[in-house]
Amino acid sequence: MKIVGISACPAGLAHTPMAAKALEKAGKEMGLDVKMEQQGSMGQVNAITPEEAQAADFVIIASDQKIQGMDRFKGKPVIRVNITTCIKAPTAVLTKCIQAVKGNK
Amino acid sequence: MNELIESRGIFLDCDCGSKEEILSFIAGKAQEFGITDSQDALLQDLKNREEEFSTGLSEGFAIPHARTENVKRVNVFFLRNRTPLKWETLDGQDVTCLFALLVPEKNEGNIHLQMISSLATNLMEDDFCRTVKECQDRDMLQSFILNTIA
Repeated sequence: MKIVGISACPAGLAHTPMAAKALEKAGKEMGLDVKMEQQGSMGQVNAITPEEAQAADFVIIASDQKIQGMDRFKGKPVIRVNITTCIKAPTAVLTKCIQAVKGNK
Repeated sequence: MNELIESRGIFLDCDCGSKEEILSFIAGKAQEFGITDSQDALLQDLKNREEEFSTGLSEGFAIPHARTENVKRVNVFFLRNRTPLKWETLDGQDVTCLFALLVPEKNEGNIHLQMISSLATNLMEDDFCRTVKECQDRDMLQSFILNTIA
């Protein structure tokens, strides 16, 4: 399964990279292809290309902030998740998102 | 280039009684070290950020931070408190170890931001956390942290 996502937090310093790393690491352990873009203090890091966006099964937005470039994900299921939940329990977040996406198909 | 973490910015024996008190201590030291011109404004920035959502992590760690015009140069403090401080954290544990991240609104370069990003992700590694929790020597701690996140 291919999953893309974006993390962003108020200052963009710490929680943004932490959530991205947590989800990517958990994804790897679960045998999923997870790529997280960071929209933080350094601008876009590890940007999701339009091709990657369109190849994804769904999109995780780990943020309550305004996200740049949401038009890339047109037609894709987008799930918003609290950023600290992604740091605390990334495996549970991915599992729940997959269930939600499968349930809607 | 200024060091991101200075030896004098490592406090291994803080004796603060509350979250508010240690944030105030951080702001005061920032003024003493010339990182801010207004400790009161910086304290308010730190508190405002905590109000958006808590910077408490797991295993007794927290990362209070401010990215604001009240910070003149990027700097990171490490603090250990004698007693656990009440703090909203991911695992419900109170906080004894803090990294305070002080970043100007406009940054001159990405090197330090990259290091702060690396510091944040290293805080998810058990080995890193154990070392910074236990190390008793400020200079050793400074070089350990800087080497790990460089």
